[in-house]
Amino acid sequence: MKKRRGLLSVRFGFNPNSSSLGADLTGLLLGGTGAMLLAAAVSVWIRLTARAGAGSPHGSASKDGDAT
Amino acid sequence: MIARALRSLRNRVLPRFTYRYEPFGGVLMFERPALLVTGDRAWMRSLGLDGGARWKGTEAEASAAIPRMSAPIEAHLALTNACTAGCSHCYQSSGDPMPGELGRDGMLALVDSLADAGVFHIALGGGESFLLPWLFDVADRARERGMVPNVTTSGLVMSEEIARRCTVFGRVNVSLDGTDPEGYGEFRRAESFPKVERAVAMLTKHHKHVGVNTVVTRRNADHLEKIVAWADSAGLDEVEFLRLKPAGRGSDAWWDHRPTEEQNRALLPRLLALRRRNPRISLKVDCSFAPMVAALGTDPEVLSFFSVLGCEGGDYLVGIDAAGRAKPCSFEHDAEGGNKIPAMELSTRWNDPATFPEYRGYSSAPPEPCASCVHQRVCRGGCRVVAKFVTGDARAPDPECPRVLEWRRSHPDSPRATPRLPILGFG
Repeated sequence: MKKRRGLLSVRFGFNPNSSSLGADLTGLLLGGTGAMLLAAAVSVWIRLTARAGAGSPHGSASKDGDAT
Repeated sequence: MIARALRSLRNRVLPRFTYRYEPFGGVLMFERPALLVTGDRAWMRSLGLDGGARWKGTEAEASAAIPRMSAPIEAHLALTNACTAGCSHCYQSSGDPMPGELGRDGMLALVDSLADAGVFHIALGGGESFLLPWLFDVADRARERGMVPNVTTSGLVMSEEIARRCTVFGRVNVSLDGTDPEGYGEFRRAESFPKVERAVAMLTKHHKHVGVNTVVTRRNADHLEKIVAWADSAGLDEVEFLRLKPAGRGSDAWWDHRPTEEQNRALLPRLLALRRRNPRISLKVDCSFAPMVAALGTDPEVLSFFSVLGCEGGDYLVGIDAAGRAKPCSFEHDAEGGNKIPAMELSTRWNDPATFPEYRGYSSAPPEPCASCVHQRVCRGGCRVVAKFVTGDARAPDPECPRVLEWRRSHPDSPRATPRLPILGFG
């Protein structure tokens, strides 16, 4: 699998653990090809979601950027 | 009514998300489904989002920046050190409240400052945070400020009323290292096991996303399927496997209870086989298991895409103790100087090179064998807390990494092969 561009990473689920960070292992069953297909599908889904105006800036850290 | 149904359908198919710009591009957070996504600048632009002034410099420079994130994505917040469980492996040495605990008002102010910084998720813990009458005030404030609060509990003080209110959390996990009083009692009071079973039953009645956190030990490592089967039968949807850390009372427990080298090598194949057999239950490993996951030879790009990464302390995450001190990781108790700063100053000190120096930038100049390891960029040298405890050097490679152990056997004269503390019983 080549170094990614575009959608870089996904992290599924919430981490309730207040001492370390958990990562879901399910994706590893898919392998490189599965990851590429999933990236394409998630990317299309998010693009549709963004076009529907479902996104908003999170907290003040985003206040310098503007939606175009 | 039809319009409302259509709106509901649209929200399910195209749910709302929030985003934050980063020098490399940006981060998106969805709550349903629970998902965090990172993308580069071009990808963010394809969504109609432009970082403007936050995207100064080239993307290559931004990708190499330390820290990579402009603020923590996730904050681990210990609300109190008070706890009645008395676990012998507790990384916080919990029991009595610690001197100088912030209390309700201080924690609410801290939650506000984390929201101002752009934090997405807060993991609440302790101590036992359910002992606090103001726990839900903190969770509610996090929600009001657009963050998702999550929590881990021993389950010992759960009640129907508390369980009902837990819907404010994105996820609730219960700590459990064995599925019968004997296994549960490896580190805890065995007689408490029925209470934990009752707590799980109460929580699953009111919340869809309840799981267990299980510390992997020499004793349970060969029987993880029992934990997963128990979770499945209890109606849980997640088991998160944690590595035993030599921190707090865990420092004493670590030598005798940590898994063997063979058990560590077998961990990922065992968990992937369990995941195939248990499609209803998500299986997670914590960041400190990255060397054991990488040892199986999984493509580093696949690990990176699915965020199966090593130490994220002081970059993706920050640990904050009950007295309001921010550290790169909650397991870090010996932090000094820039490795321990007032949490209320996080926003102003986050990008200071003097902040969290022991944890940041391992990948920029790693020692061997990490320097020549194809997984180094994702594994990041494994767990800094384990490395520091065993070798006395937080910037040493993880001494339990299978590849590090092999390298040490083939390089017995290397200075890195001789830790400052004696290593007993590996393998």
